[in-house]
Amino acid sequence: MRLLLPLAFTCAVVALGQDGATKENWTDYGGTPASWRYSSLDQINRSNVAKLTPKWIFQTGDPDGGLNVTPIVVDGVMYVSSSRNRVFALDAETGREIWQYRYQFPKDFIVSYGPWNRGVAVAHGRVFMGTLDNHVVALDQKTGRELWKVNVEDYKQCGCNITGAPLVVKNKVIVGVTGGDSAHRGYLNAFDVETGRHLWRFWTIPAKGEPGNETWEGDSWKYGGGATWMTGSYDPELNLLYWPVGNPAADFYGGDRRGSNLYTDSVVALDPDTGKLKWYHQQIPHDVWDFDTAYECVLFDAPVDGRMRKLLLNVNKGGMTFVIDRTNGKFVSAWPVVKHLNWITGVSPEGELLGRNEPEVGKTKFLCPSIGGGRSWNQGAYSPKLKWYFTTGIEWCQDVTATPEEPREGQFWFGGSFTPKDPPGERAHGHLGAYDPVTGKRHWLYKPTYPLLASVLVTAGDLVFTGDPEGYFFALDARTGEKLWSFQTGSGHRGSSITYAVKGRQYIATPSGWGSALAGMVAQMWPEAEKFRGGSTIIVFGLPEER
Amino acid sequence: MTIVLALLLAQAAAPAPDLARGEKIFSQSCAIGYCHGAKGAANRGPRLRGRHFERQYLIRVIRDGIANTAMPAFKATLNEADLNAVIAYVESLSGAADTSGHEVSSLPAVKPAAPVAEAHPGRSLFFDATKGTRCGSCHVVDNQGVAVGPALARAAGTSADILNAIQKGKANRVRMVTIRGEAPFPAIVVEQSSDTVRLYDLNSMTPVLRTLPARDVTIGPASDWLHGSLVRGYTAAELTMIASYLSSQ
Repeated sequence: MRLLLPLAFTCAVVALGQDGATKENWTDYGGTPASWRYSSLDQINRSNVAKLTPKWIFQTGDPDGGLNVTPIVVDGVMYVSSSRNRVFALDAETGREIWQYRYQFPKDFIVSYGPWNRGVAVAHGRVFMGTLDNHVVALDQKTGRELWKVNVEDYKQCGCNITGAPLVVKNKVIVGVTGGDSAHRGYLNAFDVETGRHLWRFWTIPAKGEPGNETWEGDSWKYGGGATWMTGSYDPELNLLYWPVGNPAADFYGGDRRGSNLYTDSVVALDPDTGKLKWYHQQIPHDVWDFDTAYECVLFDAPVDGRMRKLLLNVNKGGMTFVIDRTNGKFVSAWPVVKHLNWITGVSPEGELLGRNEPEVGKTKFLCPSIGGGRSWNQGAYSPKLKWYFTTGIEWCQDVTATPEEPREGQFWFGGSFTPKDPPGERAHGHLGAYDPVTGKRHWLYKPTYPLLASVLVTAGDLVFTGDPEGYFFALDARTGEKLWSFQTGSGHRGSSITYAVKGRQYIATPSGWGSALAGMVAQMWPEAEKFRGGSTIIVFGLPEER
Repeated sequence: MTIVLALLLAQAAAPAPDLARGEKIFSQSCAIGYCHGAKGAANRGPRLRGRHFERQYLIRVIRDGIANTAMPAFKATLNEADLNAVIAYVESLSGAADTSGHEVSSLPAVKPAAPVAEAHPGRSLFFDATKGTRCGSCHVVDNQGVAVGPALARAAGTSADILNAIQKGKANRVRMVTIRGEAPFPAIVVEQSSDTVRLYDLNSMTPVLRTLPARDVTIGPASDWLHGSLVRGYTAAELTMIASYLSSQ
C-alpha cells in the first residue's frame, strides 16, 4: 500500500487580478496565458526535492536541432513537439505513446532558420502547431489525425516559418511567424479553431496610409521585419491579447529606414476578437542592434508607489527589462538583467533610451551584450508567492560592423556582421537570478559554468528548476539560490521544464536535447561546447513511492 | 587497379576549383544571416576566417552537415563543381587574418530600401506580399507559389483571354460543399474515399485543407462561384498587368 503525500494548491496572494498559476495541468506555452511558468503544486518542495528520481523517459528519435519544446499536459496526457514538426501524445504517468504525428513536407523542402519547434497548443479537442513550411495544422487531440491545415504564406517567397507555439484565445488559434532577419513584413494571424478559416491578420508594420507608416522611410515598411516568433499572453479580464514584436530589418543598418519603425521592438495590445490594435509600447525606437522585444510577456499585479497596478514585464534581447501598465501601455520601470550593457547608458523615467551607442558603417564597434542576447528566448518565471521574477542572463559582448545591403524579398537581411567577444575585464559567463520584477532589485545570483539556455520553472514548493548545456537538470532553493538537487540527463538543455500532477502525484518533466542557432554561437565563445552531445528526450521525475 | 588508375586520371584531369565562384556561393549560402558572416568572419555560426581546418573535415562537414546544429548538408543543394569551389574558398580563408568587418569601407554608397527589380511588374503583382490574397496564394507559376488551384502555364493565351478568365472565369473544379452544422461554402475536393473527404475550403483569405468524415459532407454540383470574387484586392489595371505577364514569353 502506498501513501500519497497531500497535494495542496497554494493559492498565493493573487486574489487581485488573474491567477497565472498552473495546477494539475500545464495548459499553455507559458503555463497559463499569463506566462508565469509557475505552478501552485507543492508536493515536491525544498524538504524532499533531493529524493527526486526518474519515472520515465521518452525519446523522440530525432536529435537534429535538439529539443526546444515546452510540453503541454492536459488531463494526464502530455503533448510534445520535436524537430521537423513531429508531435507525440504520451501517457503523462507512464510515458506510453498514445499517438504520433509526422508532418509531411513538400519534396523539395529546405529548412530555413532551423528544424526546431517550441511547442503546440491544446484546446477545443485539438492540438495546434505551426510548421517549418509556414502552415498551421490542427490535429484531433484523441487520435493525432490531421483535421485541417492552412498555409500562412508561401515559405519560399517570405523566407519565414513558424517555430513558436500558438496561443488559443476563445475560438481562435493565434500564431506568429519568424522572418525578422529577412526582408519580410511581419504579422500575427488568427484562425478559427474548428475550421481553420482565417479570421484576422495584424501587420506588425502599418501600410501606406495607416497610422505609424510615417515612422518608416520610403518603401522600407514592405521589408522591415517585425517578426512575432515567440508566444504572446492574454488577460481574460481586460480581454487584451499581448504580443511581443521583434526587431526591424535590416538588423544592424537603419540608414534606409529612418524613423522609429513602429511596431518593431514593441509590445502590442490587441483586441483578440478583431485583431485591432488597442495600444502599443515601443521599447527600442529604430533598433539597429537586433535587440528583439520578442520574449514572454509576464502578466502580474504589484504595488507601484503604494497603488496596486496591473503590469506586464518583458525582457528584451538587449538585456533590458521593461515593465508597463498592461491596461494602457504606460511605462512603469526598466532594469537590466546583465551587468555588461553599453548600447545605451540607461532608460529615462519616461522610458526613453539614453545615450544610444549604435553600430557604424565602415567601423568595428565593441558593443554589449552580444546579438546572442543579454538573455535568449528561453523564458523566465514569476512566483506570486515570493513576488520575484527569475531569469537567466548572459555576460558577453561583440565586435559589430554595419553594412548597407539591398533587401531581397524573403532573403536574409542583416546589414552587418559581428564576432562575439568576452566582456571587459572578465570571461564571458551566464547566470540565473531572482529579482524584484518592478525595481530589478536582485535577491540572489546563481553562476553556472556555461550560460543557461533553458527556460526557468518555479513552484509553490519554492523550487526553481532549469538545465544547463552540459546536460545537468537541477533544482535551486527559490529563496536563496542554493542548489538542492541535480541530475545528468545525457544532453544539454534548450527547452522548458514543466510540472503537473496525475492521480494526486506531482511530476517534473524536462526536455533534454542540445541544439538551436545559439548553441552554435556558444561554441564560438566556449570551444569545448562543440563537443556537447545532442539528444531529444523527455525525462520525467517524481518522488519515490512510499511504502 | 585499373579503377584506381582511372580515378587518379580523373582527378588529374579535374579543373582547379574556381575560387571566385567559391566566394560567390559562400556569400550567398554560407555568409548569410544566421551563419558564418561576410568572408567567414562569423555571425551566429562559427568563425571560419583565420582558422585551420583539415581538408577531409571541410569536405565532410560541407557535404554532409553537422547533426544537432544549423549546419546543413550542402550536397543536397549544390552540384559537385560548386561544392569543390566552396570547399576551396573556405580553405583559402584559413590563411586570411581575422579581420572581421574591416573590408567594409570599400562598399558602395547607401541605396534606399527597394527590392531587387523583378523581370515583369505583373510578376511582382502576382506575388505582391502587401495584398491580403494574392495570385501566388493559390497558383504556382514558374515554380513559385502555392498549388491549391491549377498551376499556370505562361503564354497560355492572349492577354485579353487571361484577363477575362481572371475576372469572369467559373472554376469547374469548385463545388459548393455543405458540412453538417456549417453554412455551404465553395471548395475544391482533393481526395474522396468511403470514409474521408479532403478538400480546400475557399471561404477565407487563405484556403484551408480540411480532412472531414465523408458522412458529414455533401458535395454539391459545380457552383456559380466566380474566380473574380477572390481578386478584389487588385485594381483592374493591376489585373491587366498580371494578364500581360502570364501571356508573355
